[in-house]
Amino acid sequence: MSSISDFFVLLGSFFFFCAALGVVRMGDFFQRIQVTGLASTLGAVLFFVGLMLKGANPWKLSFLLLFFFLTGPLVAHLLGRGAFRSKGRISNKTALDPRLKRR
Amino acid sequence: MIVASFVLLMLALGLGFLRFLRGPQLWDRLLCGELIGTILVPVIVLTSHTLGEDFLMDVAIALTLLTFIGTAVTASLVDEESSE
Repeated sequence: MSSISDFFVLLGSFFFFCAALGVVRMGDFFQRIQVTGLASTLGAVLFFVGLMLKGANPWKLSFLLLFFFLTGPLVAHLLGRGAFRSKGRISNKTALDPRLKRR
Repeated sequence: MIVASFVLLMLALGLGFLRFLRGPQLWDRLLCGELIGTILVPVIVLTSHTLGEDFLMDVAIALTLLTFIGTAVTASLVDEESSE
């Protein structure tokens, strides 16, 4: 049981590291938000599941897990929408849906 | 194992702070603030589990709420202001 929880905690930390690496390496705000929003949500869920298996206060941990699971994509959507509408810079390598018009 | 996850989380914090210093636009800085707040929560929870202090869990919950509300409100305000 202990090795399984260690594995989950380590995998969650690894996904957080991937999110931070993506935020440094990507060339465009919209690519950054793609990497960060998904990887940090997955990392948080894996991390808190692992700590729950270790047996650390399951009520507060489940609240944190649910909160991250709901608000991670929400914040990513809010930031992306705001950046798109306020004419954030889009690099040439980012494919844009031709139906979208920027005002 | 716990040391390894601490090291990974601290590396992630350093990388996020790098982009926070270098980010060309406001939105990059906002995203990095959200990422740093998100990474600090597992650090605090892991510290709480290692030391066996239960009150640090409440600190983590407060930090989560504060990060979410701060980022969401700032994003909505800047969006409204710049799209008029």
